[in-house]
Amino acid sequence: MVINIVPGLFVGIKGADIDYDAVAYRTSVILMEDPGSPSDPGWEYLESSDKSDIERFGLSLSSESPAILSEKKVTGFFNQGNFEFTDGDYRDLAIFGEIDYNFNISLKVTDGPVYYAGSPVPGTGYGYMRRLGLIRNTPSAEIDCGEYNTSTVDVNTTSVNTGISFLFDYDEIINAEIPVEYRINPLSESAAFDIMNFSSSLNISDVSSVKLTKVRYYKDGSLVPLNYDRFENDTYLFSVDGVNYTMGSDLSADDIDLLNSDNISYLMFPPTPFSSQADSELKVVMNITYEFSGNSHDHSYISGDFVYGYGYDYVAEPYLTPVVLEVAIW
Amino acid sequence: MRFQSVFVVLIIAATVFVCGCTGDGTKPQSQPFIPAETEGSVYLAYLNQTPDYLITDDGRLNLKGAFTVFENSVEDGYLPGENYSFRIIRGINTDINGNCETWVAGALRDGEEVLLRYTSSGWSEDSWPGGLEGDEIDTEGIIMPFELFNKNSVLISKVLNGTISNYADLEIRSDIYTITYSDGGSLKSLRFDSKTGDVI
Repeated sequence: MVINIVPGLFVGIKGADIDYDAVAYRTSVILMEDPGSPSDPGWEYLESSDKSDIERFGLSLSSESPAILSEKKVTGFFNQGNFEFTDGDYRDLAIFGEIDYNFNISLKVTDGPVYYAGSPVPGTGYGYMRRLGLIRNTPSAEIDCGEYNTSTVDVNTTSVNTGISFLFDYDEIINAEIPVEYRINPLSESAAFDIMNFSSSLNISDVSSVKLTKVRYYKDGSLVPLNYDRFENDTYLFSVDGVNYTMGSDLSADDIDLLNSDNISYLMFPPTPFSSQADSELKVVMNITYEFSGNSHDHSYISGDFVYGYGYDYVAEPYLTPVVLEVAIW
Repeated sequence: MRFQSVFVVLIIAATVFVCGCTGDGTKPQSQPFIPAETEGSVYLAYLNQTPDYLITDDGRLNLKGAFTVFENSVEDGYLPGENYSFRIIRGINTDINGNCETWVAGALRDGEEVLLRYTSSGWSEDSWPGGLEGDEIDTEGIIMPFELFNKNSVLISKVLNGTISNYADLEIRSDIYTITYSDGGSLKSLRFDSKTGDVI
């Protein structure tokens, strides 16, 4: 079988020093096949202020899936996330050895970005290793409201209290029969849902007001008691058109005006609530109130129950993209 | 003090050399410990050099010879452990016969991950600070690179004869040989069963 992969950055360049080659080899294998340490939850979920807790880098999704990389680890490793790693960090946690090696580490994603760390490669006198692999793209749900402005009430109705909800049936999601690289894993990865084109999908001439009053968690049908009006940025990130909010109090003063808002984003950091209880269900409910002004025809509005799982066209399930990792050491 | 240190070193060297001469005469490839002195301190330099007949004219090394030297190096104590289990083997810059400039490997030595490398200077060991996945490679059960290349000569020579790529690596792990090469700016790989040499 011939596997066609993306262009390599240093293709054709020959490693010149044997010891450097060995160090480059070790670094490439550790990065490509090791999940790093800590691994459960992974180092990539540490706060940036806790980066000293990282014992070893590794970009692999898990020890059971060598050469399949975690997207979050990759972006974190190459300083595209919360961390700001220094050359010293890379030496201590990925290259190792008592010598302060110079290095260049790059990762090319097919039809995607190229990530770099380190210094420009010299013309000669360096060790080099390249490895082929795959990167797993993190799942997410994307709701294009243009497809879901389909709920209706009759012409005489002046307001509706409704909502948009996302259901996490953990027993279905954490399905051990699905290979780990294709499995949605709310225990160790974030869950995101993005509601797009909200206001632009409304019949604005018909809707006089639309407000998101609050977001609430329900476990197995019961409201989860929490201090919802506090920012809990280590567990979730809720934003409307890029502005962050809490999940809201019961006070109307906290309502968020959606009449001119297009993008509603809710990101849950791992482990998502109750995901360790495999037989439980979590429902994230966004309560929305519409008021209608027109009186010539029935009113339409956006609402719906969405399942965060497999087989739904609005869920981008995990998929794999070829990558080339190249390591130069001198 | 310096003179005394050197003197002690010479005695050790002579003793080791004599032991080597009276040992198993079938293993002359490996050379004995050669103590050396540097910056005022004495250390033991491990010299288990690869014999010339295992090195090609352009300095490449074959894997079968590497395994032979490895066994001798372990038996003669040139490597720090006795029980090694290869998990991944990489040959760097292979030629058309499967000979490589150098061989590096990830292995378990008495349960601990280590990095091994084989050059014209023989085998040496370094640490492997991380997990090492993969099953044990049956070094006696796998097909040797020159056999693999011979069996698939048409396919491999097409790739490595310079018209497609002049640089390729060879890797063995989990019962699979993988040849990675560049083709017009792209990286490609060929995969073979490591026991039969059949294309996968």
